[in-house]
Amino acid sequence: MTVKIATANRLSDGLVLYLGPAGWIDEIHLARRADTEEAQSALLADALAAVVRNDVADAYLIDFDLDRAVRRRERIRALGPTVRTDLGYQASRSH
Amino acid sequence: MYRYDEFDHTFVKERVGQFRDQVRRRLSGELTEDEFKPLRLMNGLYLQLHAYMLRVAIPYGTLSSVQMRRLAHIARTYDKGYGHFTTRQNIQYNWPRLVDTPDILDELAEVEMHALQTSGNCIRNVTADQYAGVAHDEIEDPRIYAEIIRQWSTLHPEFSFLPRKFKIAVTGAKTDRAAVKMHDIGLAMLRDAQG
Repeated sequence: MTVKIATANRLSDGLVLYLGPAGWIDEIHLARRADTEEAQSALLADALAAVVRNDVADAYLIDFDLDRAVRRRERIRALGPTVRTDLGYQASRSH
Repeated sequence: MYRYDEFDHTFVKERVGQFRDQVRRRLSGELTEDEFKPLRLMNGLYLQLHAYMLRVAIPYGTLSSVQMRRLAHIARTYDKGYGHFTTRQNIQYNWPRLVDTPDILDELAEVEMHALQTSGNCIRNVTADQYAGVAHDEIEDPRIYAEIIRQWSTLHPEFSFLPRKFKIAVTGAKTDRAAVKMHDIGLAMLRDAQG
């Protein structure tokens, strides 16, 4: 079964976040991973609860493989804009 | 270039105050994202792939030095020191924080600028030839007509929440620098046989 993680945008500044073991984090490789139907349902429920609490907006699950997102859209979202790599997330992160 | 009268100053200032309250209610949880989305889009604010994005109108493609300096100040103070000028006479800031956007709109209002009708399914900011008023091939200055359309469309109840966005451009010159054929409605002035 495909491994999934939860992502969203932080409400206050819109930055991309991932649901980690103990809250929302900005490092995709440290995100909480779910590889069973039950675990994925629980992960999505936790993410949507944060939407209700107004911590984040637009939470959803994405496919995750090895150490990165499967879809190109999500890889770009994790790294930052492809046109200004000196100003996006990639400028201050190793992943 | 177009200068605000007393009505314009009051209107834009009131809109900033209204949006400040909407942002406050969103952050406090009184408004859900679904409820807030059409409101922020009425004020040029998107939630995009990487962060929020604020699109600011540059009326008819003309900036004063004071306005240009204010745009740079906003980029340095509230963003990452840069913005993107767009093909439809806007500038986009790509990393503003939601909590800062009312202050940004306040700063814009001080120099007669705003983000109204730059997003959402409304009649978007009307555009014109960026050389209006000084173009050698101009029949008439298009900005007067563009501003009349802008005043007619702003807050028009029938055209504020359309099924999709709607764009209008006006040119008074022979050379189409306003790209009127690319718009939903493109208005080009012509002289008839009597001149």
